[in-house]
Amino acid sequence: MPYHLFKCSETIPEREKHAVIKGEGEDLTSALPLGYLNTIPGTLSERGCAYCGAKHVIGTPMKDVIHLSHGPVGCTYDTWQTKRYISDNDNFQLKYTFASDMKEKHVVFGAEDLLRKSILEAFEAHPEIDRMTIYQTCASALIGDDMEALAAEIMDEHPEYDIFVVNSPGFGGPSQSGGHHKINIAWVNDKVGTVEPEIKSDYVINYVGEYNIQGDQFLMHDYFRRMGIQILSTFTGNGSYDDLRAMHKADLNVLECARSAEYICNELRVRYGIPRLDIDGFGFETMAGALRKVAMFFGLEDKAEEIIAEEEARWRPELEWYRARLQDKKVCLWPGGSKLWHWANVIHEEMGVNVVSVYTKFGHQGDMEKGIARCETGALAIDDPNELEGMEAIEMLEPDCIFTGKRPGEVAKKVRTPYLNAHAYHNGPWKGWEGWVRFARDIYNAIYNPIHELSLLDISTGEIPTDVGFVTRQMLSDVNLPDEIRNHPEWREYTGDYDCVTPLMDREYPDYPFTRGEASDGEKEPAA
Amino acid sequence: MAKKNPQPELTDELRDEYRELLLDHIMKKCLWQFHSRAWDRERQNENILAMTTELLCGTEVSPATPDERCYYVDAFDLARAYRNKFTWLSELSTDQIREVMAALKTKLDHVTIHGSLNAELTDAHY
Amino acid sequence: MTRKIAFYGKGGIGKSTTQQNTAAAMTHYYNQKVFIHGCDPKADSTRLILGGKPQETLMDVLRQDGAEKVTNDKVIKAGFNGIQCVESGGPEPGVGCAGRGVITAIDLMEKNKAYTDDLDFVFFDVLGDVVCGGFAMPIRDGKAQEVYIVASGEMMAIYAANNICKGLLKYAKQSGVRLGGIVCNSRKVDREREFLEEFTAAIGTKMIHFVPRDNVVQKAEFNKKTVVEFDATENQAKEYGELARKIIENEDFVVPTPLSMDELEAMVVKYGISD
Repeated sequence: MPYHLFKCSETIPEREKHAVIKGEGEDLTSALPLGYLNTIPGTLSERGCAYCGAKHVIGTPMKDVIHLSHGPVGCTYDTWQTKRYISDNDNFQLKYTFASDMKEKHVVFGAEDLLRKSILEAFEAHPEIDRMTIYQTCASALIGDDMEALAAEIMDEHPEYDIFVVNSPGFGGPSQSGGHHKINIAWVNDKVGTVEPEIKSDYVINYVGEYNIQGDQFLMHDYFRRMGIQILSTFTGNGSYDDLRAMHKADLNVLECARSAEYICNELRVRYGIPRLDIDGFGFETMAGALRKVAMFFGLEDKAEEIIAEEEARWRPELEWYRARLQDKKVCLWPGGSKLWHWANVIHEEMGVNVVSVYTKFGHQGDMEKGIARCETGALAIDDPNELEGMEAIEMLEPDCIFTGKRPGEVAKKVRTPYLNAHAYHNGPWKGWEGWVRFARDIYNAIYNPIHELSLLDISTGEIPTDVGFVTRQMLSDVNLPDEIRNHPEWREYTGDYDCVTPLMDREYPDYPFTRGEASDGEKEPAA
Repeated sequence: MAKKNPQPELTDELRDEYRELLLDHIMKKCLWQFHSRAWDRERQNENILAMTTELLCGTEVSPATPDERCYYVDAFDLARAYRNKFTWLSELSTDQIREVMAALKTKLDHVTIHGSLNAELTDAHY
Repeated sequence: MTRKIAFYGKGGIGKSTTQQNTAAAMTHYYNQKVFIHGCDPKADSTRLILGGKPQETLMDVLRQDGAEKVTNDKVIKAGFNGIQCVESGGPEPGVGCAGRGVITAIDLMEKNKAYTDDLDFVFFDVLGDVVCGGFAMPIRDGKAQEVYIVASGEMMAIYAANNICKGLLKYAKQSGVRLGGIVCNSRKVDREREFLEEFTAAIGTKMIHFVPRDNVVQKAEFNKKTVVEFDATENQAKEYGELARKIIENEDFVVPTPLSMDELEAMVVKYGISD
C-alpha cells in the first residue's frame, strides 16, 4: 500500500492511512486512503460540523425559505453568507439568516416557547415567505426540544405555513458530510410526495446536487431549457421548497455532486423508480457528454447537438487561449468532497495543467476512488488533511495554484502560492462552457498575478524600486510563447460579460413540448 | 460488421492489454461505476457493460423501462467513445469483442467491488 | 474550615428528610453553622427548615431576570436556627436540562461567594439518581469533599447506592471527593442492619448510623418541621443528634470499591430480600 506519512504528522501515526501516492501500476485495490472517519485527535482538521453540512451546504440554497437555526446565535452567523449560492428571488436566502438565540435559561428550562415565538416572528416579518426550515444545533439537540411536534402544531394553527425540521446537530457525524446525509434522508422522508407539481413538458428532470454557486444552475438550466426539458426541481441551488416536495414526479434524476446528494437519488430510485444519471458539469467534453446522455434518455439528441455545436463554437477559441498559457502548470485540487473528481481528468485534458494532488476534507472513500481513478500516476491523495500537511505538500509539490477553501487558501498565500476558492469560486460560474472558460480565466489570473512579482521585492530596506517587478499578467504568461501561439488568429481571452447569469433570468424560450398532457385529456381533467 | 479478412489471433496478452485500455477510459471518464453500494455497482456494471458489448457487436439494443434507458445512455456513450478512441476494436470479431468485454467486466468488478478497499460498499442503508 | 457534604441516595429513600433533620440537629446540639443547597429540580430540600415557605429558586430568578440579577439576598433564606437555604430549582419534568441547571446554580453561588468561610457545613442535597454529568457537579473539583449516601435494606436502594459509588469513583481521583459512609434510613425490613453492614464493608466503607423508623418524623413533616424543632425531647431527635455527631467527628473517608452486578445479586439473594 503506497501510504504517505507527512513529516509533520509523524507524531500522529494514524494519519498515515489517510494519504496515498498513486504509484506506477497501482489501482484502487492497492491505493485508497481511509475516509469519512472521526478526525484523529491532534490533527487540526479543516472540516465543518454536521449542522453546517445540513444548513449551510444543502438546506440554505433553497431560495424561498426562512432558514432558522434553533440554538445560540453563533451557529447561524458562522454559516451565513460564506458560500455564494445565489437565486432569482433577490437572494432572500443569502440576505437573511434566523436564529432562536438560545441562552442559558432556555437550556435549563427548555426552549420550545422561545422557538415558537421565533418562528411566528420570522413569518410575520416576511409575509411573502411561508416556508421554513428549522435546523437543530448541539444545544437544542442535547436538551431534546421536540421541534417536530412544535412545527406540526404551528402548521395546524397556520395551514398556510409549511415547516421542515432537520435534526442534524453539530456532533452528528465525523464532518459536515453527516449533515448532508441527514438532510437528504429527512427531506425524502418528510417532504417528497407532499405536493403534486404542474408538469409542463414531456421531459422532466430533477437536477440534484447542484448549489448554484455564482450562478452555475442558471447556466445549466439554460441548456436544459433550450432542449425543452423541464427542471422540476433543483436540489437545492435556486431550488424552490414546493418544487422539491414534488421530486417524486420527475422522469430522471440528473446527479452532479454525488457526495452531498446521492442519498436522495438512491432513495428516489428505490421508492419511486426514478433512475439516477451521474454527470459532470465542469468541462467542455464532459458537459457535451452530459447533455448527450440526458438528451438521449428522452430522445432529444438533435437538440443536444445543436447546443453543443453552438457553445463549442462560441467558447472553444477562448478556452484554447488560456490552455496555451496554462500548459504544464501544476495544480492541487483540494476542495471539500466532490470537485476533486469532477475536475481531476478534464482539467488536465482541456486546460493542459497537471494535477499533482487531490484532497478531500469531508469526502468518503467513494470520492477518493473517483478522484484517484481520474488522476495521473504520482498524484498525492489526502483524506481529511490538516493545514500543516497542506503546507508540507505545497513545499514538496511546488504547485502553481491550489483550489481549496479560504482558510487553507489564505495560509497558502503566505508562501506565495495562489489559490482559488473551490467552494464559493472567484469569478464564477464555473460550470457549463462559459463557466469553464471563466474558471480558466481565474486560474490564469491567479497564476500570473503580478502581485507575486511585487511581493518578492524587499521594501524593508531603502527605496521601493520602480523599475522592477511592475509587469502585467500577459507579460509574464507570454514571455516564452512562440509567436504563432501568442498571436493565434482565432484564440482570444474571455469576452463574456462581467455578469453572465442575470440576463439568463429574462431569457425567453419556446413553449415546452408537451403531448402527454393532451393524451391524458380524454381520461381526466388536466391540473388547473 | 462484415468480416473480410481473417481475424488476427487474440492472445491472452493482447486481450489483457485491450482490457486495460478500456478500463482506463471508464476510470477516467465515467462515473456510473462508482455508485456508493456494492449492490448498485453490481447492477450498474452488469447492465451497462452488457449493453455496451451488444452495441459494439452491432446488435440492436431496445431499452424499454426508464431504468434500462438510463443504462443505455451510459452504454451508448461508452460504446461511441470506444469506437472513436480504439480503432483496433473494428478489427475484432464479435466473439473477440465479447471476450475482451467479459475480461473487462471481471476486472471492473474486481476494482470497484470485490477487490475494493471502500469500507462503505456493504453498508446496509444509503 | 467549611466542610462541604453531598447527600445522595435513591429517590424516595428519605434523603431530604434525613439531610434536613441532620442539619437541624447539628445546629441544635452542636451549635454548628449550616448552609443547605438543594440541587433537586423539585426544590423540596429546604421545606422543613423554612417551615414550608416556598422559596424562590435560583433558576426562577435566572429565568425571569437573567443571571446577572441573581444575588444572595434574593435567593438565600434563613430558617430554623439560622440555617441558610438555597434551592437551585429547574425545569418541569420532561423539558430542558435539569443537569445544566445544577451546574449553573452552583457556579452562580460560587461566583456570588455564598458559601462563606464562617460556615461549618455546606450540604448539597442532590437528585436521587446521578443521571448525567450535571448531577455529579456537587462532587466535582473544589466542591463537596464528602459524600453520604442514604440507603435502606431494600434491594433498589442498595443498587442505587452501589451506582452512586461508581459515579463517585470516577471523580475521586480528579477532585479528591471521598465517601464518608452510608446512612441507613430504616424501612424495617428483615435483617436490614446486617445487610447494610455487609454491603458497606464490601464496598470499603461503614454504616455511619442506623436511623430507626419512627412516626414522629412524619408527624413533624406534616407540621413542616424537623423533629428537633418539632419536639427535641423525642428519641428520634436524639438519633439525628447521634448522626450529626458522627458526621462531625468522622475521619473515615474512603474511595469506595463498588460491587459488580453479580456480587450484588449474590448478596441480595443471601439476605432473601429479592422475593
